[in-house]
Amino acid sequence: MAPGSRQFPVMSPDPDVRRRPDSSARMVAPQPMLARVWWLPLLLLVALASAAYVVGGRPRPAAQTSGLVFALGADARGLLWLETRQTDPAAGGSIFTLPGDGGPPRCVYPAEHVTDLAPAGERVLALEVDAEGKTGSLVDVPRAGGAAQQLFVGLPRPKGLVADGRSAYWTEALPATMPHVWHIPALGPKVLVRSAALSGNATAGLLAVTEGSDAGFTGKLLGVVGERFYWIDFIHAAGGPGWSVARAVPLGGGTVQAVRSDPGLQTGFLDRGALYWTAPSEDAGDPLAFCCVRRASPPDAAAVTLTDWLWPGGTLCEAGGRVYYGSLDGVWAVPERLAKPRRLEPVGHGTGLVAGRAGVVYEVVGGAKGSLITGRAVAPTARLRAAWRAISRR
Amino acid sequence: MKKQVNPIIGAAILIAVIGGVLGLYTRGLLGGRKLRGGGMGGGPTPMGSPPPEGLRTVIVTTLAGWVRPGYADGKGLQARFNGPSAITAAPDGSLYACDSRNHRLRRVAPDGTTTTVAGSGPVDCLPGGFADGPAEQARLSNPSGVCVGREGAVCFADTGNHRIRLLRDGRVSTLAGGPTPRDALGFERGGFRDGPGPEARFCYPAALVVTGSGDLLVADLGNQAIRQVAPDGRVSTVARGAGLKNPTGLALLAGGGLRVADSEAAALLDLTGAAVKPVPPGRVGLPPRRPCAVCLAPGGATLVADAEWHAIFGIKGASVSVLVAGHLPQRPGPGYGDGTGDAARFARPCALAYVKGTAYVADFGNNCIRAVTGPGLDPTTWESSPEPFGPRPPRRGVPGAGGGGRPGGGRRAPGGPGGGPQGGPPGAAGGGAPRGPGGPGGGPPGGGRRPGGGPGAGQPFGGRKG
Repeated sequence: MAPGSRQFPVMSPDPDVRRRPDSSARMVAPQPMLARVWWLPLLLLVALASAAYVVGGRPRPAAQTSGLVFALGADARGLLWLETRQTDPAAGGSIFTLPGDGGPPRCVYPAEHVTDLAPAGERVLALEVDAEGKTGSLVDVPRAGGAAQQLFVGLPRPKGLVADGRSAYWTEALPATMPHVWHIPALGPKVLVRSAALSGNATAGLLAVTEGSDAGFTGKLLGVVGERFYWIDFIHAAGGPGWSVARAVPLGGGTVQAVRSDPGLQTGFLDRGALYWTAPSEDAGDPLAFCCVRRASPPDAAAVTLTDWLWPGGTLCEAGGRVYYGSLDGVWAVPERLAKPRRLEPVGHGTGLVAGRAGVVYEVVGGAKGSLITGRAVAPTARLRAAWRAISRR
Repeated sequence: MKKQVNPIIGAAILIAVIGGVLGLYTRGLLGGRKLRGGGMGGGPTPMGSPPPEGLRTVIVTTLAGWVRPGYADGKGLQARFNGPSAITAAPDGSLYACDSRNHRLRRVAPDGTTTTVAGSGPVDCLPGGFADGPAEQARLSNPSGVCVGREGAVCFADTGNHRIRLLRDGRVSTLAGGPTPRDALGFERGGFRDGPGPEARFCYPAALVVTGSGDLLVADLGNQAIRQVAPDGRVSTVARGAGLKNPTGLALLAGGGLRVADSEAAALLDLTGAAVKPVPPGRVGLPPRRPCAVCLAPGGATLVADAEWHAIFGIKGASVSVLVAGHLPQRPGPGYGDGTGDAARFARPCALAYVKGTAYVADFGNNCIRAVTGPGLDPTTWESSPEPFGPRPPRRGVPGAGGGGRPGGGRRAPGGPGGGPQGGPPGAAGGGAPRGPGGPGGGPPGGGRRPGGGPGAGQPFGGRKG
């Protein structure tokens, strides 16, 4: 045997083969062949993963409702929404939930006049008002269903509920006391931000503001960052389009800080200690006809503009570590730095209601009969999970 | 032999003709004049008559502040207000203004520089507070009425605190009014009680003026009353109810009476003693719709700010009402614009002061102080404004302005030439752009006590008795 040549052990029981060592070498050759196509299954896997990624990112119906969905919330446990069959969503509706681990949607609190909700662990907190919306109560509804409990009653025109693990926050309002007197703010509608510890039974007024709307609070409560509570006031200025002010007040009381101020009705969102909010467009000729999204992290730091030319009147949410903006023309991914927004695949007539959980962006779209809540996985793991779920259902 | 027309062709032609006529009719090309004009002459508005507009012989400029709300001292347009709700002229030629949402009292110097003279604490629609003391530490709440009193003391209605307060020698003190019960959200509701200063109670006092004897007359808005505050702070009620609904503006008449702008009564009211009489609607011209503020102009005429129609009116005697500045389209809306009276736009103008041929306007919705100047402010030049949305008498040389009368078109200005003097002086129509800092016409605002006029809103204590 020539030096360096490879001697394979004779494995075959065939005596002929034993007599011809060269042919035996040919018979065991498939092993190096397999080693040479190792990339094939990998390619297949990548192709499958890519397909799953693409398929998983498609919008999927999460729930078809028979009524009109006018409020949407989400947390780790699942999705919550308010649904009404009335023509005026401001009159309120019932609470529905969709468990995050699958299962059908369920009405956990059938009512006619629930106007706001906030997930709080195993519970859902909600504001329920009377038929005229003048007084209301804070209701505690078990998420799994069951008897609801009224926590606080007799709240004047309550609106804008948010809750964290410790407390609930909402607004109370009084209407204007005199008609046709526009220039005395003290006579205008007044709003009070109130808080209550979830473990206690006492409430505290955080701060009052003047010049709300007769209909109650029209701004947005945002939440708590670093022992300060943030919210956005919308000032219904007499004779003008009004303006929005993002404010912060220490939870223990103290000086109120005006963080941001922009013309027009704007929305905001707190995510991982940063404040995201919409502002009048910096690029459009008519600034109030479009909006841009800005970010300040922490909220009182210098602001940066992330994107522009979005339709105003939408809402912001976070999913998979990224911020999304939902408006009437669909859901837009907000870039991390100044860039064009990327529109996700449109589903239908958007309503501007979006919520995010577990890497999925949920959007409410309108339909001829009721609303459709669609989920769209945007985080890679969520996409693969969604694809697997779709395959396993088939 | 007579040639027969094919019946199919004839029917087709007939159908085509009928279809064409119907098509033209549907598109409004037939009978359009009738539909559009309705017998009104076919003016530029759908209703057929041009909307009333202000005089081209006055020029409106921005003296201090800018449309965007804020709080900043500075010169001219660099200053920021947030809802200026009252204004008065001081003898030194400066203006004092209540910066309502900022809970501050501001001063606009003759050179157009705005400074803060009283108030502290939160701004921008956050609630004010109450504290007497050094002016820079005092706390106010939505002040909405101001006048300059005896020895330079600035009296102002601290509306949100339901008190009448004084700024004198760099200190703010309370002249009359005390704490009142609070509502469900913690805001004071106001009250009603006559008596010595600290025991008296007000409910959203708004405008105030000072009489020749040094008393203050206060429009107590929430109590629908006119109250009198003596220099020692004692409060009495001059009139309550009796036609008063939302008194928000006051002006002393030269004859000794008091003229009240009442936005809810939608009329000017004259108060003589305790008797309240509505000023008879002018026989000529368009009366204001929601008079919010009033001040005297020369010759016994009155300037009125209309917060619903966003315009300034002039009323001469009891017969002539003229739209001085502003523009009334079909649905009057707020806006901002400097220029001649017909081009200027306001947003909830709510206070007026007249000094030496210039009317100053607290433009609440535009967050600035405006100045109105020009020969058109002279009441002797006033004619009547046409009725809103009604017929306008034909004017020579203005195509389309004439035409037939509107059938059943409501009140019509009898004999009025319509629109007032439209020619204007040379150069009067050229002031469209916002002025830079420095006041209208390049001169300082005000310029001292108004000679020859009655004691208007800016008359100091001890002035000529009205």
